Amino acid sequence: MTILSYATDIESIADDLWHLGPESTVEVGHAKVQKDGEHAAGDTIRMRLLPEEDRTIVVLSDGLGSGVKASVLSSLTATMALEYSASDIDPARVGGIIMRTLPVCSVRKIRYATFTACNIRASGQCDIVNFDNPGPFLVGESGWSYANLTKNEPVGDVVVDTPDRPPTRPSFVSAGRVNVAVGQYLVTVSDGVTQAGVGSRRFPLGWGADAFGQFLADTVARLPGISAQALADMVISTARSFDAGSPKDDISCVVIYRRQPRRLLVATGPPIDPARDADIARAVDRFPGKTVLAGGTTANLVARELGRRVRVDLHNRDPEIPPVSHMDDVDLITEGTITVSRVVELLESGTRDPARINGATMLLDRLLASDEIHFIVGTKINEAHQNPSVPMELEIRRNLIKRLCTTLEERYLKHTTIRFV
Amino acid sequence: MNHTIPEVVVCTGTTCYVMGAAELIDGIEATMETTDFKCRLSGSTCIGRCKNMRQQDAPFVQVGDETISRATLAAVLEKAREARI
Repeated sequence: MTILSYATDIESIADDLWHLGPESTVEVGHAKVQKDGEHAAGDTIRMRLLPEEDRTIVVLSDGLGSGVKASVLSSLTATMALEYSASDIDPARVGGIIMRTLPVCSVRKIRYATFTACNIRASGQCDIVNFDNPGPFLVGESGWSYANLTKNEPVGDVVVDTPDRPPTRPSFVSAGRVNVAVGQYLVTVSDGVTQAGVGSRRFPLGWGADAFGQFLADTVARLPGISAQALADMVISTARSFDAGSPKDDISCVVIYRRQPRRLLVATGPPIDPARDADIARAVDRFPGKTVLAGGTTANLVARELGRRVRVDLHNRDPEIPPVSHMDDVDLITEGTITVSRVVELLESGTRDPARINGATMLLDRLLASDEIHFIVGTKINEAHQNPSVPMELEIRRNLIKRLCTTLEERYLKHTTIRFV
Repeated sequence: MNHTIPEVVVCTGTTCYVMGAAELIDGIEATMETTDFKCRLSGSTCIGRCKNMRQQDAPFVQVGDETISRATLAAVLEKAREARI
């Protein structure tokens, strides 16, 4: 949370917000289903955000076999791969350590789990280590390709303890650095996806990696800007349908999507200096993203400065949360104090009644759909509802927004700034 | 007799909403549905009447050119019926 105070500064908020960076963000979506009849998923997906290093690490591991045993193997592998990736250890060593650590399967007499670790920065630079998973697939408007992993390093041997096979089989981990452009997706899957439908009339040999890559390209072309989560869900449901609804293997998918950040401006409360009114209105007018006004006085101020009209929407009323209003080119207008307090409650509790739609849930949806949220918080005591016996309203608004930002950052991984005026 | 349909503006600002604006809107709508009472009902983000320490007089409702303070459903309906004549 960055807090800036403009109360005595002549700097323009509108100009300041106009020059926002960074230019891109990384969105991650993931989904999986387990093999039909199993009670545990044999694939494991782990991820970590390292905000101070501007890195996101995502790991997908597929354990040998299925069920609990596979789950143990893939959990161990994914956790180790995540930790090693976070500490920038050489990929070949990572693979070697993992292979030596895994327990040997009592039935198949080998120890084995695949993994793919993607280590991506906001700049799009992505280090990938892949051990025996399909792909990964790079997908964009212009089509798809396999991520070009050039380095193949021996990671030691898979232990094979059966009489008809050599005691060890050499294995290699591939690694490389790719650039994920803005608008591109990097997709990692377990072989349950590329082998989906195997034995069926349509896909006797399974879906196939090339056909799957083409599916990704077609989907992205058909649904430009599809979210990482929606794409991951679509991959899983499609693969599942090829297995006639009862998956023959664990099926999992991780999608990394690099895109322009979704920015939101929330202006709430009148500024201490009325000379700032025009600046706030201009900030709302030219903000490069969605805009919300939280508070009737704020809405009236912006309407006056921009020569627009505020219309209160009396449909879908809620007994506790005051109604929303509309204004041209503003995405949402809510009441201030009650609504924002409820949003904080909803975010902190993490629960909501999906049937109840009001100003607070609409603001909540806007907040959660954004990556960067910028607040302009007026610190003037609001004469429209200031009770002189409780001269705390100013402090309440300040603290409420700070609490909101803390929750948004810690529990929802959003980037926030607050400008007090 | 030429009836004009009165304009009724209910303030839905924070104080007015807490002090009963929500129930007023429900009541006015219910009256229009169940009786022959008619008005043009709308809301306002703030009609600016609770400044100067008059918030104890909320909720405020404008009927035509007049503002009703501590508005009740009965007072609003009465004022609107007067405005119709």
